[in-house]
Amino acid sequence: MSADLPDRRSVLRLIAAGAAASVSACQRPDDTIHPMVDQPEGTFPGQVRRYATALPLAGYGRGVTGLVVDGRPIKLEGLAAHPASLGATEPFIEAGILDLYDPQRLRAPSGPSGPASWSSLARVLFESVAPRRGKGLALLTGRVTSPTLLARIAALRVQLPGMRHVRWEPFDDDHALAAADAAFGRPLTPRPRLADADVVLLLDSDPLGPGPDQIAHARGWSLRRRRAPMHRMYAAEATPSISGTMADHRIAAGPADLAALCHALAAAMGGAPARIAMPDELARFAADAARDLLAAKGRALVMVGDRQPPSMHAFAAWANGLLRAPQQWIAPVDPDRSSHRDSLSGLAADMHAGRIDTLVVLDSNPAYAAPPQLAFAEAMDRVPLTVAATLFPDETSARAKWKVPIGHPLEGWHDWRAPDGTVSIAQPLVRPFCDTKTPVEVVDLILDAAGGPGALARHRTQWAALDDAGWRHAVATGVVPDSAAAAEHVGEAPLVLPAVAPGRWAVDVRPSPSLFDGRHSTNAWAQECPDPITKEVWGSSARMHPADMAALDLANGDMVAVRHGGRVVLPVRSVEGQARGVVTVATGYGREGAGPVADGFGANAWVLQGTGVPQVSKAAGRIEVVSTQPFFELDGELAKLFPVLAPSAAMPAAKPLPTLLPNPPAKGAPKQWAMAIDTDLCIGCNACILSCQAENNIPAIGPEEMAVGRDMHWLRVDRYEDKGAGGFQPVPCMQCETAPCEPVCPVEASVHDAQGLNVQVYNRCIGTRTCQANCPYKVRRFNFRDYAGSSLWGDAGDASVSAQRNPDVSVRARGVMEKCTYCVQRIEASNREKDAGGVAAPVQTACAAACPTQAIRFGTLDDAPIREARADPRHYALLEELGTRPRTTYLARRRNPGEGA
Amino acid sequence: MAQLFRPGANTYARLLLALPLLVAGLLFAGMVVARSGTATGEGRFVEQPVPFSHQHHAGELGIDCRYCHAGVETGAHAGVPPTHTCMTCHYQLYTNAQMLAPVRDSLASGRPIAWRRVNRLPDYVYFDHHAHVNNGVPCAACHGDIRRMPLTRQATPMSMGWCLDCHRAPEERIVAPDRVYSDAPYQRRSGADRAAARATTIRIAHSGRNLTDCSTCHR
Repeated sequence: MSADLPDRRSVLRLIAAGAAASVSACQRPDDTIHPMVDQPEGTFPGQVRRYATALPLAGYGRGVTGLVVDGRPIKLEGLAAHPASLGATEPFIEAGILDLYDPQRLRAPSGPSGPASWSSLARVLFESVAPRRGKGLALLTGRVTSPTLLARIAALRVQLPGMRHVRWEPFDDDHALAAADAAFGRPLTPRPRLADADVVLLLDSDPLGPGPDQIAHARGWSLRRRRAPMHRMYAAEATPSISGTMADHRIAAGPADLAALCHALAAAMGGAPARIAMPDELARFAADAARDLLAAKGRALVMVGDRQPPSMHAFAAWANGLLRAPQQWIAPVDPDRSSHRDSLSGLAADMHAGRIDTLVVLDSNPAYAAPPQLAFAEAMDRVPLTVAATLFPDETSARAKWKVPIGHPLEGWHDWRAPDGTVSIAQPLVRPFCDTKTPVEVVDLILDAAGGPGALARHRTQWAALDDAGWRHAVATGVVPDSAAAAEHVGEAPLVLPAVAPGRWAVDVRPSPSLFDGRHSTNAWAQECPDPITKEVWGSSARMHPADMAALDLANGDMVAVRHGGRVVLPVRSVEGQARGVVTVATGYGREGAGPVADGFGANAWVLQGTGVPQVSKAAGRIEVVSTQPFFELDGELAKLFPVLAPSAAMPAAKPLPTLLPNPPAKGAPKQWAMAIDTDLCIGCNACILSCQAENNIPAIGPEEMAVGRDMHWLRVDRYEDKGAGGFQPVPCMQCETAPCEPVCPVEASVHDAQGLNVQVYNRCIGTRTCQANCPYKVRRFNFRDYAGSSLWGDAGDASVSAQRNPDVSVRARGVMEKCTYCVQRIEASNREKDAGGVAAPVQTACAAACPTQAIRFGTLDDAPIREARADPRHYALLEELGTRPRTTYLARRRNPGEGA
Repeated sequence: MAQLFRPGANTYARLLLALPLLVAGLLFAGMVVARSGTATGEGRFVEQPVPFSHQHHAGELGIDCRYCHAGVETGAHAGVPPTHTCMTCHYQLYTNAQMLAPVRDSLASGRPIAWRRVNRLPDYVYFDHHAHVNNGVPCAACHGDIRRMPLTRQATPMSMGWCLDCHRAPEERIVAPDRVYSDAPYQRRSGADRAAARATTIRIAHSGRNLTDCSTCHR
């Protein structure tokens, strides 16, 4: 017997120890209770408290309501008083709560020689900038709308007159401002009111798509769409967007087509005589649009996408003036009048030339998103002192000598202006988890090694005009009253027409609806949130027209090389409705050094911001980007699953199905919950998916599991497309009255309760998955693995992430089936409140509360919203013929093409 | 012809006859164990950092339950009192008692006292105190005669079957509002108790909900 094998006695000893350990494991684990040392008056453990605060996107603030339980913010909802939230949310707000708890966050300052402190950074900065009174110091930020931060930067400039502040936002509004400057003599921002527009023409504009204005535009659009007579939306765009999908008339139009369209419209509207040749289809589209726009003078609107040339914005200014469009002009909320692109190029040139010796990058990522010709990353190497203040490690902080953490917006005092100028003073919901500072405190650190009096004092001083009551009111309500920008009076804009410059290829760089410009790439929920159009998760492909792909001998998933300034190689996907010659790439992917959730997915679209002629060619290899929906067109099934009606048409009357059950079966019980989803208002923005994820403790499962179809989202949004009549259909659990999942469960884990809910009992479930197989709507989700406990993706097992979890919802274990519960925890909270003699607030599911267009309505069968929806002529139930009697029902999509169709 | 059965066959046959009895006995024993305090924790004491006596505070001194468990009427959790609540009295009484050192330390350091849980429900059970006490379920229904416990013990099994006993027939357990926080609420059931029980059961029936639905306690 060799010496390293255990002898008989030690084996027996180990067996005995193991047996003893297993016996002791049967006992109850010790559990401790930690009451607060000093519980604030009027509060009690487990209480959900709601605070108004705000979150930024691209520098603009959007009001949110933070739900805080026992000191932990667990969910963000909309803030009704805020003009950029209106009580609803969008994916970036919903995913923002995960960022707070993300263990990938930068936790403490580090310098060139390892871990460092804020005070040592302050000393280094002081030594570097003070002797030359700021000469050679550059402060690079994103868009700054915060009055306090602007005031602190101004104060910094007084002390250090030599410094420069460069403000640069990857998705800028340079072109729109330049056009207004040329037309009216000063830069102005248009504020369209979609709620008042009867006819809208979108020129590659996506007002319902991702951006700081998404909620406001979507709400305005939905308000108008509910009103009769129906409005009409025309969209000419390079790639299908959310707005294009919802449009009544959509045409695929590349850059040359869009310019030609402007010429045709100008001619039809009596502005210019010249006509230029264009395809018939486009000419018809232009004629129809011009006719409808002119017929609706005063209620007609033209919108242009931010990335279109200034001349097209100028054309829209002229057209909107002619049409007396429902929009006003306001002075830009961002007071910096310089061009985003020019100021960044100027800074990069100076850095290359060695004229900058201190660069402080504040919450911006130029090393990732700057145009490739600036070679920003290399320029950073030429600067002796570089400081990157960031929430997550990124490409810029990897290059910087000093990496310092700024706090999550919910950890400190901030103020921001909304896109309409309304100020919100955002209060912290929790103390900083790490050794972080707010942007205001970072700027103060440059001024003063002691770091200033802190963010709260700075904001209070900035808002000294508010007395104490006014300050408290502004903080508590989330908005400073009457702070919106005033409308400016403008003259008549001259007609400007864009030049028609044909080219074989055009590259279209768009914000990802999940990751935006890359600032949400580290968020696992965002990565796993399907793209509204392609339904891709954990990656993205180049979108091309099928004919273009055929010309290059490309099939879906083949790699394509795109060169425009820089070069990217990424898989290609054919998209119905893509313009010929346009390659669309979403930003936010191709990250490096941003952590395991972001790195290695897709390619960086920002390197395609070059000039000159793009080149597109086939490259070697294939990658299948995971998509949660393989088909969008369903021959013969569409009319049944996703009916599209004419403006005042009704669904055909459904033949009552023979049944042995009393009809209606569940009457007599007062509270019968139901949901009605208006597919005519659903814009597929995914706010509901992420709201559900945050509310119901749904873990991110990662690309490998998504690839084999183990999606855990309780709610999916299906997209359908059919000749110009596409749309979105959110599919949560139908809560069928005669649910097919119930009779097949061998252990009665799927049962009905008296309130009409089809409930899933996790503790009974033994994981046969028969219910999933028998569910015709495929809304049941199975925990193939211990996603909640040990999933690497989204660090689900990390203690800091589990702090986000909703304490009112069970965390499901491996081998258990789960599904949408109609947010039973909210229903029961209301029931218990009423039982206990309190006043129960109306129940809203997380998805309904998040919806920007209020397309999801929830209530009992007797509540007015559900009653009205069920009596609506557009009402239908999904797969009604199966006799499942779903409680979740739909209102059919409408399309108003007019005579032109 | 050889014998079909060997002599031992008789023994085997008798054993086989006894087997069902044996199995039934084992099952019975298993059920007894599963319902006993060993499995449910009923009657279990837990060592606490401070040997707090409910008998002394609630029984002898007559401090109301709600003085310390302040959340019981307003929220799901009754709450273990914050250190400040202990110190409202103990900043003057027994200020130097060795027994109270952890409380003083907690106040001085700002670190909570780590009380050990006595009444433990699984994580997937969402019990709500205020929905129960505001509807006439007395503290004693679950926590027993706490005023006679020098050290707190788990007074009831707190198993699902035990919960359901009451959810199936709540009228037996509901008392008049003024007796919810009293000791021995179930002794000498009065007309007021029966009236309160009747009113509550009628309200439940009218709400259309079923107290034995899974969604009542699990989500």
